[in-house]
Amino acid sequence: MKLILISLIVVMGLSIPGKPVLSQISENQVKAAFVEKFTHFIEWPDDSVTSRPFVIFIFPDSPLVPYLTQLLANHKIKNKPVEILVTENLMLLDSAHIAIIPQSRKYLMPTIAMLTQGKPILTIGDYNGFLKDGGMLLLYREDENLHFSINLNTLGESGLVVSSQLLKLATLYQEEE
Amino acid sequence: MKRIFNNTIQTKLMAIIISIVFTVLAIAFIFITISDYQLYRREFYQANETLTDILVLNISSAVIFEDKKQTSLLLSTFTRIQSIDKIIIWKPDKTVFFKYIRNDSDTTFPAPLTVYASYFQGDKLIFNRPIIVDGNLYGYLYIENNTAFLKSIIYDRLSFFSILFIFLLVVAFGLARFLQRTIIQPIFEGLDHLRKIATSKNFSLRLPEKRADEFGQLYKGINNLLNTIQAHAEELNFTLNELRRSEKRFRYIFEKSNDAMYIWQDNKFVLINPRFEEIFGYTQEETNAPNFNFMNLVAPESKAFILERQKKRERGEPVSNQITFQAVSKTGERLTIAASLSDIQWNEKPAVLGILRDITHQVNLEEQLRHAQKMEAIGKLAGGIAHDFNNILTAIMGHAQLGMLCTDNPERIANELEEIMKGADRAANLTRQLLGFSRKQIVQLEDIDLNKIIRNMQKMLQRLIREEITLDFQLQKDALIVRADTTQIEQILINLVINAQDAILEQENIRGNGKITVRTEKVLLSELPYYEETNTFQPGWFVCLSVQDNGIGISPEIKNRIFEPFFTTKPKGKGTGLGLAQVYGIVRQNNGYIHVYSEPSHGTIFKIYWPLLAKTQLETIHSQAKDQVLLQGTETILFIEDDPGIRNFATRILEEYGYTVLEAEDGEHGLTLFHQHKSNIDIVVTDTVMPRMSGRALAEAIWTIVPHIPILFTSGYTEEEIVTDSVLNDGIDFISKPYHVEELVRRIRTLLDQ
Repeated sequence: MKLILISLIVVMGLSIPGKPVLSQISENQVKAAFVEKFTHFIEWPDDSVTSRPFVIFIFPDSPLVPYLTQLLANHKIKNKPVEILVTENLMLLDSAHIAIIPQSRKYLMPTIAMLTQGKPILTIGDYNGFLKDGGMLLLYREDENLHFSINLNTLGESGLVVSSQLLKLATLYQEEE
Repeated sequence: MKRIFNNTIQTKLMAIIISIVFTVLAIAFIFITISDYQLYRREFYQANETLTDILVLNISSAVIFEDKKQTSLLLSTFTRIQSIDKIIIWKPDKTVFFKYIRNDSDTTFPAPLTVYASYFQGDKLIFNRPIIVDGNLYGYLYIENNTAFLKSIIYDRLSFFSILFIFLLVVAFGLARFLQRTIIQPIFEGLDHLRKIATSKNFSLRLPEKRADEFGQLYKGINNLLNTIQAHAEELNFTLNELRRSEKRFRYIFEKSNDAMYIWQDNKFVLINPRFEEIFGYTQEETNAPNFNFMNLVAPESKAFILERQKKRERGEPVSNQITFQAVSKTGERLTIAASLSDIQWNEKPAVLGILRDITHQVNLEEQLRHAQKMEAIGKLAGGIAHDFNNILTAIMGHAQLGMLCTDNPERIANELEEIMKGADRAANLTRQLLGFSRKQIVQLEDIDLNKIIRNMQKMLQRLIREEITLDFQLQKDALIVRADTTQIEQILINLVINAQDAILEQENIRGNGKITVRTEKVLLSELPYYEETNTFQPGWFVCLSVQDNGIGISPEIKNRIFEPFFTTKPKGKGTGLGLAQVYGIVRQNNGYIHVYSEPSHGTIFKIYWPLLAKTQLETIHSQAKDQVLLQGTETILFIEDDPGIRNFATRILEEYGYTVLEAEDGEHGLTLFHQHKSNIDIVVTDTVMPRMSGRALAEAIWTIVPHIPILFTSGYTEEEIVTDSVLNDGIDFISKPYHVEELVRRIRTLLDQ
């Protein structure tokens, strides 16, 4: 499993031409770390975080699963225990605070967008067009560094509050009218 | 320090102002600089701390996401701050995430500090901050600030202050100069003026009063003071000149005085005048010498007297300030000096001012004059006596011849011989008088009975006076013992009787009725019955010898002179003028008192008092004191007496006894007083023989106003004579003069009690 995962990352890394390639392991690790770091700069409405664990919805085929699991084992977010929902059941989206959508589930994105619209669920993706599909936070690689872009429209509708510190580091996505 | 105090006010003021300004500015600038430095440092610290904290917040997301570009971008704003030398960010694993080191700063690279810290290290202000988000450590921030610019600010401030300091000092100097001009300068001007005035002593100079400020007023005040000083100076000058003139005058008097003058103080001559030097031959230097003794000037025969006087003076006893003594000059010349000595204050110390007159020449002249006068007197006496003696001799010779012519008739011879005997007695009397005058007699004081002497003299006195004149003797029965010289008593009697005879002979209208009474009596005197200044009188029993005549009397004008030697009213050749003088001298010599009472044209009475011996005087004085109480009274007495001496004397005595006395000098005045005070007057005492209105006429007038009012008559004549001469009627109240005090008062008291 580990070997498959590593080889997949290497393939993905190689698939980006003309640019110095981040180690696939490193990139996913960084992405997992980014997910955790985002939680420091985003505020969820109070009723969504009280009296329950902080829930991260992730598809089982997402390369971030092992890293997140490792990273967030015995970890707290917003002073809550973290629960990583590794599932394909979209019905569980409602209970999640963050939903991570890999490129492999790109086709589900419009549905997911519809399901999460107006709800305090941060959707994070790492493929081109994710924001256009109604995603909120896109991770992308540039100059051998991982960057992120934020769709203020969807994020604004969700009721989540993004720190200016985060906005300062992000590139902002504006949907074309 | 001393030098500063010796400087002028101007310099001191300048120094004080500059010093104060310098000190104040220096302290102020140092204080401001230090506090500014502290403030800047604190503000710099606070500002940079805040900046660092903001920085940590700003870059935390970039550090968390390890966004170097963004970190660099965020820090680029801070790296433009000049004071920041280094910014270093380490990751949690202490690998350097970001590094900024200013080009011109030192390149030392610090070790990562994991703690929160802010501190100064030398010129550096260092902040260490761990970057923690939600309790997670994401790195470390190190910021190193260079505070050197603070020093430069302080240096800038100091240089600014230095310029300001110098500028302010210059301003202070200017201010001090200005103050000096406006305040000190006028003082100096005033001082200059005052110095000029003091140097020239010209108090008419004045300070300019044109200034309108306080100095103007001060100058005005000083000018007013100068006015006063000028006035005082002029007055002082005037007084000084007057004093000098006065001093000169007195010195002139002192130096030109014909009397020797000296000041004696502290047992030495402090000053003598030229006349002193002239008389005694000693110079001022010689008399000033410490070993010079006043006794050098005194002749040996006067030394005892002078020493005794000095001793008395030292004992505080009274001494005469007018003395005469024999002096001796430096050359040994004998001088008679009359000295007048006064106690004075000389230089505020007691001293004696002596004025000495050389009376040597005068004394010699007086001696010569006295001798000449004596010779003249002897001549006169001899002339008078020769005349009398010739008369006597003529009579003796006449009677002798007559006797020789009738040798056959023994009876006639006897008569002639008796006449011859009378003449011889008279001659003997004359001889005695002559001898007495020439003091050939020796005074032999002894206790003698006056009555006995008089009785022994009776026959001789009878022979002495003319036959037509009656000589009456009324002598006290008891022996009257006095201490006196028999011969002198005889002389007194002879002189008084002869004088009485002369007075009778001058009284033409009584020719043939002339009478001389010689009387002795014993009297008790508490004081003299007439006024006489004497301090030797002792109260007690006295013998009174009186010789009374009814001759021409003595006029008041000459009454005071009758005892003077050579005074006589007798024609030339008749009297020597020595008789009464001799009587007075003898009486005083025998401790007696003599008094004369005379009514012109009526007669004279001489009374002589001698202390009676062999009686306890105290006893009598005591009984007299008891008597005195009984004699006292408060009635009013009208007292009329033409002799002022008797009037005053009697009035004083009566008032002492408690009576009120109204005095009148003659009958008319007495009558006027009686009219005015008739209701108050209890008794009248009046003289009998008075000018203008006699005692008798007065008494008749008074009795017509108030009948039976007691009137006591007084007279120098005996009651018998007064009554006989029909001056007064028989049965009147009469007291003869001179009366004794007790007698007068007792008579008055008796009349009042009746």
